[in-house]
Amino acid sequence: MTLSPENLKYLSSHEWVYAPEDGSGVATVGISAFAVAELNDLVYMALPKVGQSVEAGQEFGEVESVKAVSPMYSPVSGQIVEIHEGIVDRLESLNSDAYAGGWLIKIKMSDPSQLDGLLDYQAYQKLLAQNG
Amino acid sequence: MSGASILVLEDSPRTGVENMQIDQQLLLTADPWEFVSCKPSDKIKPSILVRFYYWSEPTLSLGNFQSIKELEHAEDTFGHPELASIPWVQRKTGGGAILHDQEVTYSIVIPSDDSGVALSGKGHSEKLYRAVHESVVAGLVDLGLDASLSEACTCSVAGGKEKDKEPFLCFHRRTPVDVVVGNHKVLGSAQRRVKTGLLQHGSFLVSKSPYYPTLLGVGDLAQFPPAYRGFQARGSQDACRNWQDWLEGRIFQAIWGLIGSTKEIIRLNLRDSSVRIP
Repeated sequence: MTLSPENLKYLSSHEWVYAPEDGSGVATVGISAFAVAELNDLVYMALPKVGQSVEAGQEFGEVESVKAVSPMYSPVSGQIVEIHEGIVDRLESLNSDAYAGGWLIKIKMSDPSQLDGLLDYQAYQKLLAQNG
Repeated sequence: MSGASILVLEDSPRTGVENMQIDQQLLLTADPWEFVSCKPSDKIKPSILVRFYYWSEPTLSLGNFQSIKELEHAEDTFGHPELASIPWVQRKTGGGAILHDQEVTYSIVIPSDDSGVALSGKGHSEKLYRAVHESVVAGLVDLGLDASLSEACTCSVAGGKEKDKEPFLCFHRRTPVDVVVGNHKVLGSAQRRVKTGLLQHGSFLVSKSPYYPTLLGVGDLAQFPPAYRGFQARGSQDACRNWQDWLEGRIFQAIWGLIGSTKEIIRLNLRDSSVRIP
């Protein structure tokens, strides 16, 4: 399974998570292409530090665009094991790739069953269509 | 959105930290709210909340990602040590720093479950920025001022070094929807969107402050006819109060433009001991 939009799970707040069944228990997290387009002209992003704990549904960072600040929410609980080094200094790259090249953090999941409660690609597309 | 109601929260002067805490609490409890008050009824469930700030002393509020250390080095604040002598507070919204002195600060909070203002997305709501600012422009033009939307931009390039070159002060920055009178920016707003709702707050310059006298307010930029002399009283609380009443009317116009007429406008005073924020 590759890191492509069809293989991801989503939050309704437009964060995605990629959790390959490779036994590592590490999930990769980012924000969707829709979110990047909505945010428009990203200026600042703050990400957590490696070693920090995050809770599913809670904020793990913030992003600013057009004078609006929006928290980013974690799809799963666990501990941050890696952040995408340098991504906050080249946020424009998210415009061309919000997924494989635009991941933000990696989390060692404490409860992988939380993935079951997230939206799959079809459900997320339906949400986007509803929101018009 | 028939049956929607606007709650106007009145208050008395507070410190910057208290003012920011109140906004944050109002935003995080917008689920929607249920205010408890003895007057006018026990439980009030507003659709939209409008609040005006009262500052206990001149205060500098910094954008969410700004550092007070930038004050010493930024081109527009370098050489203005008097700014460093006043209290500062960090906002939860974006944009540049605002000097809260001789100005009117407002906030609008809309719960996420409100369908009238398209709050389902991520990031800013252009619709709300534009509605409030266009309403203010229309009102200023009616008063005879040369007001318009800025249609200019000093915006940062995403994630690039240019973001460090932006002016420190909000009123030296330009986004296309900022309100200007001539070349002077007189209203800027910023937002924060969380799962529970959207907060927009903004600052409307009434007159110049001794802490940064080159930033002019509406009272400095026009001669008003006798009927509006109260708008001209520079440096007085009365002028700010008169402009606040005027701005409240413009905000109501903006809200009605977005959601249609509202059922009622309720006023509560946060200092009333019977009023509790949810």
